[in-house]
Amino acid sequence: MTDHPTHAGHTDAAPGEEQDSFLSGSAGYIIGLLLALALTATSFWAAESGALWRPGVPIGLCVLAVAQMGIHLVFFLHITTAPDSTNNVLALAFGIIIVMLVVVGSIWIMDNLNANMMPMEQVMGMQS
Amino acid sequence: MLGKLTWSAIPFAEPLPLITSAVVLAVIGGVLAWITAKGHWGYLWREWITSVDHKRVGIMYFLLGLIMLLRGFSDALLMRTHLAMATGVNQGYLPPEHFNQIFSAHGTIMIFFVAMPLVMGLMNFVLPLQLGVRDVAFPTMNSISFWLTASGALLINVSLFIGEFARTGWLAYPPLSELQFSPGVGVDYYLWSVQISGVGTLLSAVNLVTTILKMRAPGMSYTRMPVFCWTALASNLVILAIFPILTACLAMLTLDRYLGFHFFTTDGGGSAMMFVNLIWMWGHPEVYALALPAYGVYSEVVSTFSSKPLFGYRSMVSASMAICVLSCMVWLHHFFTMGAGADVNAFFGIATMIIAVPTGVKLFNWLFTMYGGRVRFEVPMLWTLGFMITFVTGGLTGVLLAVPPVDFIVHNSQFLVAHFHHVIISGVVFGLFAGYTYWFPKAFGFRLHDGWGKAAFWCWFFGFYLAWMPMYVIGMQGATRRMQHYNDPSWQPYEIVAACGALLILCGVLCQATQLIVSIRNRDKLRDVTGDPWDGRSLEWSTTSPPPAFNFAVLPDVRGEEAYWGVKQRAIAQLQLDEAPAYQPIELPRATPIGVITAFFVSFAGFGMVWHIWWLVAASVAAGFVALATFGWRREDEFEIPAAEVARLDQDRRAIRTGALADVAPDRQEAAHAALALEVTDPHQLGHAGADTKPGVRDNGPASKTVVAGFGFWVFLLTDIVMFSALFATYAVLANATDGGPTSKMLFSRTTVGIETVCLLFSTFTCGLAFLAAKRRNVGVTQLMLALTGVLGAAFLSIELREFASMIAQGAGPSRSAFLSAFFTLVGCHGIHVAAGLVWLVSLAAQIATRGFEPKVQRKLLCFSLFWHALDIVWVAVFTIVYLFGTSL
Repeated sequence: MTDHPTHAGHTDAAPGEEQDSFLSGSAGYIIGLLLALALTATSFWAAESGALWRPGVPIGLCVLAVAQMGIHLVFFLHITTAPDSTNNVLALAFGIIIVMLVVVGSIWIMDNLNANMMPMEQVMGMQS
Repeated sequence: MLGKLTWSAIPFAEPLPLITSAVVLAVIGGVLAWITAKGHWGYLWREWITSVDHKRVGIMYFLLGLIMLLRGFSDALLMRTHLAMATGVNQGYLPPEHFNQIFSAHGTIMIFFVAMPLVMGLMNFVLPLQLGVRDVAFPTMNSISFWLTASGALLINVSLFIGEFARTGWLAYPPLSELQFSPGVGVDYYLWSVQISGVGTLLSAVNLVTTILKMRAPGMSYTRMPVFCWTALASNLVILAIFPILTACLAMLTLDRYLGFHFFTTDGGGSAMMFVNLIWMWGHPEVYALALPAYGVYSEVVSTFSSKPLFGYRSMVSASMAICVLSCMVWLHHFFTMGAGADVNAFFGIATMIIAVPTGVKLFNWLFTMYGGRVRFEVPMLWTLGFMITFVTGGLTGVLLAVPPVDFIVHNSQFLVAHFHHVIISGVVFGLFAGYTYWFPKAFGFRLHDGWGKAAFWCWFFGFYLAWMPMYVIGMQGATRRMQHYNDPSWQPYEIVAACGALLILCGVLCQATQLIVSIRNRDKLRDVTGDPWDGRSLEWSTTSPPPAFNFAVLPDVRGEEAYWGVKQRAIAQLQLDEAPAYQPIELPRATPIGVITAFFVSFAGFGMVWHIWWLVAASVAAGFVALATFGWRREDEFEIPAAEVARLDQDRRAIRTGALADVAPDRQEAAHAALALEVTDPHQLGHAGADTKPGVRDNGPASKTVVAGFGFWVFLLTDIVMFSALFATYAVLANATDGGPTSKMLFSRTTVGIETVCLLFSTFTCGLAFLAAKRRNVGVTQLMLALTGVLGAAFLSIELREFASMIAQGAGPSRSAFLSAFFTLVGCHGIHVAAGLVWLVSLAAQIATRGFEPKVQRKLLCFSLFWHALDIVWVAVFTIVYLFGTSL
C-alpha cells in the first residue's frame, strides 16, 4: 500500500495504514473487536452491578473507557509507536492535551464559580 | 416567502448607514463596470478566482484583509471622533444603538476579517516558498478556505445595508445576545459570518500544518526550517486547538436563538458563564495565533536586514512552541471578576505571567541578532524596530493586568482597551506591514516605494501613541470601555488627543494607499530583477520575482541551515551557479471553481439563516452539496508543464543570476570563501548549524500523497474531537441543570444504549475488513463489508432516532432544560456525524463500483475508515459519560 521508498532513512506512514506486525491482517481487527466488546461489557456490568463500591464506580468507568479508546486507536486506527508514525502520535498527543484542558479546565472553573457564587434561588429571593 | 426580511430592514431613516451603503455600492458597481469594460473577467476568473495556486490564494487573502481594514478603521474613526465631543450636554453624533453596532462590528471585523486574512495570506504565500515545495498540501481546499472567509466577510458587510449588526460587543456574551434581549437579526449576522469564516480558517490550518510537517524540500529537516515556518506551525496548531471550540460555542448559542435550547439562557437552567468560559478558551489563544506569525516575520526581517544569521535559533523555536501550548492555558484571565475563587484566579494569573518569559526570550534574540550586524534601515526594519519598542511596554501592561487584584480595578476599562490595542497593533499589525513590504517584491516583481512607506510608518507609530496613551490615563480614572457618552468633562482633552492620534493613523493609511499607487505606476523603476532584492537568506529568494507557477524548477536540495544563504555563498565564491539540473515535467493542480461555488451557496445559506428564509437555506445547502459531490467525482486533478517549458523559464532565471554575479565586490567573495571553508572568524556570522542528524538519514522531500492525505485527515479528525470535547465539557457542567424536569435516571435506558453500542462496534469491525479487502483489491468483499457497515450504522441511527422521538413525545425535548439541551446536542452531533458517514459511504461504494481501486479512491477509503473508527471512540466517551454515569450515579 505504501508508495514510499523505504530505503534511506526518514519514512512516514499515514495514520490508519497498518504496519507489518502481529496486528496486521484481519487478526488485528478480530482481536480489537473482542477486546472492545469485553471492555464495553465490563463497563455496562460495572454500572449495573451492586457488588462494587459505589463511589469507585465513576473512576472505574473512566479507566475502562480510556482503555477501550486505546484499543480502538491501536487495533482499528493503527496508531502505534512505530518510528514512521511519530507525527501521527505527536498530533494525537497535542489533541489529548487540548481535550483535557477543555474538559478538566471547564469543569474546574465552573465548579469553582458555583461554589463561590450565591445560589441562584437566593439571588431570585433578593430580587423579589 | 422572505422570512423576517421586509423593506423596514433597509435603514432609510438613518442617513449615515444609508449614505455609506450608497457610496460602497457605487464603488463596487464602478469597479465591476471597469472590469467589464476592460474585458478582464476571463483573466480574473481563470487566473485568480478559480486559482488553487498558493501564491494567488495568499494574495487574495491579503487583499481581502486590506479592504476589510478600511472598513474596520473607518468604524474606529467614527468612534474616536464621536467620543471627542460626546460629553456633558453634547450627545455626539452616534446614537447609542448605532454606536453599539459600530464597536461590535469594529472588533469582529478587525480580528476575523482583517488580522486573520492578512496572517493567513502571508502564511499561504510564504510557507511553500520557504519550505522549497510547489504548493500547499491540499491546494483545492485552500481555495475553498479562502472563499469561505470571503463569504463571511460579505455577510458581515451586508448587515450594514440590510438589517443591523450585533450590539453585543465582539464576543456576543449571553444573556444579552440571547433572543430574549437581542431579538433583532444583528446577533444572527454575527453568528453566521463568524461561523462561516471560522470553518474556512480551520480548514486552512489543517492544510498548513500538513504542509509544514509533510511537505518539505529534500534535506529541509525541522531544524533547518526558517523561523517563520516554525511560528506558522505554532500558530496553526493553536488554530486547530481553538477554532473547533469556537464552532461548538457559537453553535450552542445559535441553537439557543433558533430552537429555544437553554445552554446560556437565564431560564431553564442555562449558564451564561459557560459561554464566557468557552469563548475565551478560543479568544485568548487566538491572539497568539495572530501574533506568532508576526514574530516569525520580525525574525526574518531582523536577520535579513542585519545581514546576520538569526541569534538563538533553537531558543526561538522552543519559545514559539512554548507559547503555542501556554497560550491555551491562560483563558480565565479575561474573566477574573466573574467570581472564581482565589485558587483559580491565582493559577491563571501566574500562567499568564509565565507567557511573558518565552516572549522575552524572543525579544532578546532579536536584539542580539542586530548586535554586531550591519543594520539596514529599510521600511520592514522600521516596522520591526517600532514593534520592539512598543511591544515591550504593551506586554508590561499585560503582566499588570494578569495580577487579579489589579484586574479587578481596571477590568472592562479603557485601560484594558488600551492594553490590547497596544499589543495587537504593535505585535500583529506592524508585523503584517513589515511582511507586506518585505514580500511584496517577491509577489509582484517590484518593490514598494520607499519614501511613502517610511512616511506611513512614522504616521502609524506616532498616531498609535497619541491615540492610545491617553486611554491608559482615563482608564485608570474609571472610564469604562464601550461608553457612548461620558459626564466627566476632564476626560475630553484626552479623548481629543486620541482622536488626533486616529487622524494621524489615517494619514498613515493614506500614505500606504498612495505608496501602492505610486509603486504600481513606477513599477519599472522599482523592478526586482534578480528575485533577491534584500539579500535574503531563505529559499523564497532563490526563485524569480514573481515566482513561476511551480515555484522551483527543481526542488532545492537543502544542505544546511539558511538554505539559500549557503547556495548563494557558493555561487559568489565560484562566480558561477551550480550546474544546471536535468529538468523534468512538472504536475500542478488544476484550477477549479469549486471554492467560489461553495462559498456562493454558503453565503446564500447564511443570509437565509439570518432572515429565516428556510427555502433559500434548503436550496443553497442542496446546491452546495451537489457541487461538492460532483467535484468529488472529478478525475483530472492535475495538468503537466512540459520539461522544455520548465527549462526555458529556469534558464532565464539562471542567466539573470549569473549576470548579477559579475558585479560582486571582492570582499564579499572573500567572505563567501571563508564561509564555505568554515573559517568564519566573526562570531556574529555563525549560524546554528542545523546539521544532518545522522549520516544517511535525511528528509526525502515531500511525503507521498497517501501520507499527506491520511495525515491531513487525521489532523482534521483531531479538531473534530476537540469540538466534541467542548460539547462534553458543556454536558458535564449542565448535567444537573434539569430545571425541575426529568433527570437522566428517568430517561435513559441501558438496554437501548447497549444495542446501539454493539451495532457501532460491529460496524467499525466490518469497516476495518472493508479497508483490508480494498488493499487486497477484492471488490466483492469490500462492497459486502461496506454494505454491512452501512446497515449497522443505519440500525444505530434508527434506534437513536426512536430514542430521541420517544423522549420528545414525553415532553423531554431539548428545550425543556439545559441538561436536555446539552444531551441532545452532544449525542445528536455524534448522530449527525454517523449520518454524514453513511452518505460518504454510499458515495464511496459507488466510486468503487464504477472505478475500481484507483489510488484516489484508496485514499478516500483510508480517510473514511479513519473517520468511522474515530466516531466509535467518541461513542465510547458518550456511552460512558452520558448513559452509564447518567443511570448509575
